[in-house]
Amino acid sequence: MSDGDAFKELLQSPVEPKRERRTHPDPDGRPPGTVWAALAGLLVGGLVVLAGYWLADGGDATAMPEVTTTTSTEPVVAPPADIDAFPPGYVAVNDRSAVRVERVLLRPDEAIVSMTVAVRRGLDPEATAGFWGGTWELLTGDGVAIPSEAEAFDPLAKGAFSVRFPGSFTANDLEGIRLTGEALRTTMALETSMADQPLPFAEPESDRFDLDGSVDLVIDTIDLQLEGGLIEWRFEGDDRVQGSVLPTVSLWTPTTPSGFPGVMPVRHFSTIASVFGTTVPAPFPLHGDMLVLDPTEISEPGSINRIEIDWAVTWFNYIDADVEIALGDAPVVVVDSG
Amino acid sequence: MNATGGAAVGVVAGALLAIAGLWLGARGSDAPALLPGSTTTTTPAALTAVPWFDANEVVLGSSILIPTELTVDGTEVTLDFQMEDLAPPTLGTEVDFDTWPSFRQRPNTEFNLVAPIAWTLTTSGGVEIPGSTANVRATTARFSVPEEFAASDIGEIRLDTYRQRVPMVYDIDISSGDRSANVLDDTVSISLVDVVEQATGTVYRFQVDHDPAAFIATGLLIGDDALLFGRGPGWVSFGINEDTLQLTHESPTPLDVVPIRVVTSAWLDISRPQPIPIGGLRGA
Repeated sequence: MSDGDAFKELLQSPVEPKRERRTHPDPDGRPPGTVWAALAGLLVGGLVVLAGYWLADGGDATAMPEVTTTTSTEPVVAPPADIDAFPPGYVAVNDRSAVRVERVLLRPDEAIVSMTVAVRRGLDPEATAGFWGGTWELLTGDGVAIPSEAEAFDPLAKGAFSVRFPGSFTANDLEGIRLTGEALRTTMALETSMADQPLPFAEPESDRFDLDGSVDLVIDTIDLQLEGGLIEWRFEGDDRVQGSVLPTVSLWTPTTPSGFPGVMPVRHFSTIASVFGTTVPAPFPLHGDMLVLDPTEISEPGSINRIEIDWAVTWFNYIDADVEIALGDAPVVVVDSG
Repeated sequence: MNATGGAAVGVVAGALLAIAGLWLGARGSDAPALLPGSTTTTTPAALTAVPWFDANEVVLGSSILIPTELTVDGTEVTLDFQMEDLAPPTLGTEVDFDTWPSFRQRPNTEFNLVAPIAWTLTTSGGVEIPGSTANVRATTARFSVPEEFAASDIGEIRLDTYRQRVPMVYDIDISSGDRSANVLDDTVSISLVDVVEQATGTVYRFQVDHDPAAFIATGLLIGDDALLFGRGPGWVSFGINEDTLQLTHESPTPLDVVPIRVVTSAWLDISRPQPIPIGGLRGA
């Protein structure tokens, strides 16, 4: 097993049931297993052919090289890699997935390119590492490359995403898009605990966590008051790294039943605007952010004696890429704002 | 025929091949040219139309369509199909509504990510008959055909248009005095319907309007179809007020221009005509 295979295997949740892919009926109405059973029989028969030949040939070992040198299951001419690996029109963006432009929306001050994703032929889509987007450029006819500003993903629109480019464009301006950096997503859980610590609490110095040897998470501000609080964080070490930090602040008191600490609600306002809908969107990746905390709701705020913060950190490293994707036959839709 | 029967046939065929092998072997040293190894020569021409998973499946955006049954019933022809995803996992989390309070209505999310909508059946005589699929959850295409229409009258079936659900993100600046609808997409608009000044900040209330025909599968909950972000510093809270989404800015004086980001999903109509392989379904 290659490292890549092992990586993909790790990405499949052990608690997630393996998806059973439905199959179409055989044209003759046979159950699906019939064909395989017949093929298995033919395989057995084929082996008997070889055995028959070998026996009839008197078991002369000199015949074997002829068999082995003429047997091949490989095509004489390899199919074009892209056609074989992905559906028509899709352009590979890594070793496992490809994208195709489905529509370009031109608004007065932005262009939004929507794409679909397909996994490489032979891979189970649900067991394959996702494509987490990246950094893009919109290529115009006059040679200018416009960097992307935002991407949109939605679990209820799996297999598609959109990329936003700022600026005013016409359909004739557009040549294509280019993936300049593929996002590699990493998540980590961290915990900080302050014993014998009542509220208010203000961390006098920045806290620093080494995430992967090249990127640090720096917590510049932890200011917790009964009336609310503030947490400021940023990534340091690589200006391109972006992500999200979602802290859970637990407040403990001597009388708090075990397992039920008070929680200081955190408003991830700048990263998650609403959780009222059908899905919780992934936070927009940022290089740093300020999080607002609501007043504590604990019943005995005066007796708080321990503070714990669990940090859920997700960050994206961007691997250099240079994949140009034509707009193809994707329609260009123009709307006015008014 | 069941699997056991298939195996039996296969073994019988294998036995016949075995006999052939014995015969070939008996012919002597000129036989190797006909050995199984030499019969694996492939025909590159067949690779120019490589199907995705197999020849009975059609790739549509991030999904594949699998035709499963073709029926002629009086003056209606129906083509049943299944949709399967080609998409890997994506970012974000689908809310587990089974754990939500019962007063929250469970949204209807049982739709396909890709939804065929417009079809054409061409008769063996060359007459084209339009067909349709009812909605984004349906998996049956229906065609109205003349009386005494038979399966043998079906020449071919083509899918003309399908819908692909895609996430969208829009940045828009709205003047705080503007109460008109701002078009985001060909099916989506947003209006700033109210500005409420408070001692500790200003509340901005927005209404997102979707073309119902484009969002026939969702929208049971306010906020299902759009998420609002305030761009820039100073935004302190969000919420729902009746049928509006609201954002609160810390400034008690209304902003001249309200910068927001809207995240939603849209159904794109995609016209890429594709023949549907129905050969195996005839007579089913």
